[in-house]
Amino acid sequence: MMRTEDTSILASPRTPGAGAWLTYGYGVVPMMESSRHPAFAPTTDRPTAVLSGEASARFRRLVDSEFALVWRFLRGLGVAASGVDDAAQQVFWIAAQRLNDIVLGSERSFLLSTARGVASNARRAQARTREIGDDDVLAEQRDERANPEQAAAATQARRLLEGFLEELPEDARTVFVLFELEGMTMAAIAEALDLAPGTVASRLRRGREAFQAATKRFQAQAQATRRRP
Amino acid sequence: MSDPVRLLSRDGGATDFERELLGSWEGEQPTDEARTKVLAIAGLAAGAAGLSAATGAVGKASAAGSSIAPKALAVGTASLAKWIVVGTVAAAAAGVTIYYGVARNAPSPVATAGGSAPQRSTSESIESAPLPPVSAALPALSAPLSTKAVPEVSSARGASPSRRALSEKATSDDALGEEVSFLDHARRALAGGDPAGALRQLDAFDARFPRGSLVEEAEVVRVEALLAEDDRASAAKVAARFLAAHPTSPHAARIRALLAQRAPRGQAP
Repeated sequence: MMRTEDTSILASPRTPGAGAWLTYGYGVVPMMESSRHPAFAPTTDRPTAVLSGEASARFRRLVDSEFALVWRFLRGLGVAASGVDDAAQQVFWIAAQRLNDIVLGSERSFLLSTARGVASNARRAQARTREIGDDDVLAEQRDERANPEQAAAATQARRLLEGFLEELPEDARTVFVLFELEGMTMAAIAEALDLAPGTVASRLRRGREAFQAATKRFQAQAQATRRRP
Repeated sequence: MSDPVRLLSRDGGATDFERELLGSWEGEQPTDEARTKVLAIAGLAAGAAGLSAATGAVGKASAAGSSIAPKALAVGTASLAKWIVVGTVAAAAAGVTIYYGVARNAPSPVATAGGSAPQRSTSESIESAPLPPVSAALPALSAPLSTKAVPEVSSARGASPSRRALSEKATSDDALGEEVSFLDHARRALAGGDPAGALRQLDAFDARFPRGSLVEEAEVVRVEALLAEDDRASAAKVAARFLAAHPTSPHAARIRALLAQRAPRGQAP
């Protein structure tokens, strides 16, 4: 078992763990295989995707229009700030490889479903890192940011939001993030996630209920703490 | 059937607390660096030194219910004004409009529009694909530019991109050779069982090349040397500083692995 490599996972998720599966894009890949998949190689080892002129232009358009959404979506799904850049790279690396398979007009759908798989993978790795990682390093990663943008993000409110989002089941969280945080319309979400509108509506409802229950609980606890002598 | 009202909107029914939580999401924005690295996947340069034109990217995006337009509506136009991303689109047949932006924290030391990109080309993670000459990445700018964007970008540009890139490359090659030499000395000292000597070399390196191309490599060697001296506390501090500053650096994995190898905790590696 590759214990010593586990803490490197935030940047390059090589994931031991036989039998786990990663779903991304249009395919299902066993985790053991995916651990050797170039998408999960460290950034220097990941081969550059060679794209023809037209494909290259398509890829650039893809990045221009979808990168920010994918990046924030990964954050919304719980990928840590320290790992999200790499996770986003994985998503787009996979997209670059599969560009010919992506039907024109369904790029966002491909990217978001890939992102869900990558996020799931990254979160598993994060959980393992928390178990055996160096607490000091982890704590500093959480609290210190490279630039003012990220520093602003690490506010108390943001951290609390992250905590509450963690309480949502993944399917509800996905819709909640896209609707409440990213402001996508229900129709756009249905198309992007390939869901029936009714499914989107019910997942949003569950997401809201869970979110509001969590915030209510938190506030009640805070009040109770204040009242204590 | 119309969409439900968003929690954040006025009639959304969110408590003040919920509003504050959801509002904190506004701060979540990727850096230019992250975007540049993604483009590098396909060997594409960010073209950050200039603005370029993408047809209807913004218009099309709104029609498709993208995150930008509705987000601006829900949270206020301030969110759009606060961040923008400089992008280049090699428009094939599609014609041109502007999809442009400026990093929110323009003075950040991390690669901003144009300025630092050529300098750090050797140390950025775009190692698998060297940056093409900047001038080649700029299509002709035919569309009008908003005055808001231009000052911030042009102030970062300075001299003509291609000339600057060339002269900086020449200087950086000499300095790079020196940096490599310093690091080699440090590594040899470490390999020879002299971590203190290695650290002295690294201090000299830091003094000589505060913004050198190989600063990240130097930090890795520093962590190794500190661990070799059994100074785990200092090693962890340096590591934490590095990981905060360069979370997605290719060296981040190596640094984490170094710390993990020496983690006692009663666990065998």
